[in-house]
Amino acid sequence: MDGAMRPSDEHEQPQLDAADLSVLDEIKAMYSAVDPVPATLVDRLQFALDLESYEIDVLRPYEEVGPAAGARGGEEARTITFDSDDLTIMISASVQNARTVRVDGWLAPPGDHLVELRTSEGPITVRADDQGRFVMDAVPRGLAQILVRQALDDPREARILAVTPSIVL
Amino acid sequence: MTGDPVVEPASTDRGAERRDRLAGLLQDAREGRREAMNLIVADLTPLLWQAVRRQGLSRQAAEDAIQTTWLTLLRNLHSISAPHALIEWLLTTARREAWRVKAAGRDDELMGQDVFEEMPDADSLPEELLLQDERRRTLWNAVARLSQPCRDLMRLVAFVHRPHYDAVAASLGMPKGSIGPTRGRCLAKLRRLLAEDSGWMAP
Repeated sequence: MDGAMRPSDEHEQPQLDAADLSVLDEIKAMYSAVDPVPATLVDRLQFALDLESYEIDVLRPYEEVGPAAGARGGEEARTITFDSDDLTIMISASVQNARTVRVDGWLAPPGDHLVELRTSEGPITVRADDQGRFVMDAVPRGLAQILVRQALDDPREARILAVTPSIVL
Repeated sequence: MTGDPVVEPASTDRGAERRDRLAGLLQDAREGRREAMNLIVADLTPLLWQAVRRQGLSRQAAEDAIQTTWLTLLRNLHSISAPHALIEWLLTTARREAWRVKAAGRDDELMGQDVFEEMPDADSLPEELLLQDERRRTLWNAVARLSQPCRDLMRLVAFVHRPHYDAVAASLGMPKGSIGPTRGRCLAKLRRLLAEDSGWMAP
């Protein structure tokens, strides 16, 4: 698992001939066609990885309740819970109109945290209250990612503590 | 890596070129160049996708596992200095993330062990799966007749260039050094099956 590891098998493999390589190429093409990487996954990954710091904890999606992604309208809110070793964050996104959603969130354990929602139109930052609750109004729909930062007097110095994968609101 | 015996001209050139490119990108990414990271993600996500889908994750669950794999990499980027280490690290981490997703019950739309069990009958495959091509359907049928371990190995090896087989071993939970012989056996079996099929002609 570290850089010192060597490709020990490099000199010990039986050789592949041209026909083997060609079959492997066709197997690759076959799986790429039958089970393709979702069209926008690489874009969403690149969005999620575009962070100023690499010293982050990962908040993993843990549970999701509500209308399937892409479902429209209705009063029902979509609730997603993320957790890391140290933090749990739950958000509930409800559709306001064709362009925006309202996000109600809750962070545990409560602490002095800034919650930033990165969106394609820029970041929205709020401070969680002493119960760990936060609200974001008029969030543009589309790709988003939640960052939890330490709340400092100067927000520009607030280090990222944890991030979620990108999600589509 | 200079001085390697050139035993497989076709794959060695291609593999070495890709490895050198990846080594350069990795160096740039470690120095904080965002664009290099983006290129690495584009290059290696197809491999990770096949690896976690092989573990039986639904497409949504596979996306989760791959997203958290890449995010986890950020923290560890400074300790990974070579492409083979990167690929092995990613595949090992993706395997663990896939388990986590399963354990968390995020995989409620689990589709089965692999795509072959979902679609056992090649004749009934929907057209959008692009298997209407006779040659590809022949290959599909032959691969379907391999044992599950052979099939899994072929699926990953097809997405990985040769010097990185330790990484494949990590993803499949196979002993290092066993990939080469097993791969040889599986490929021989597959080519025998293909040779018996009139729908297949060597290119």
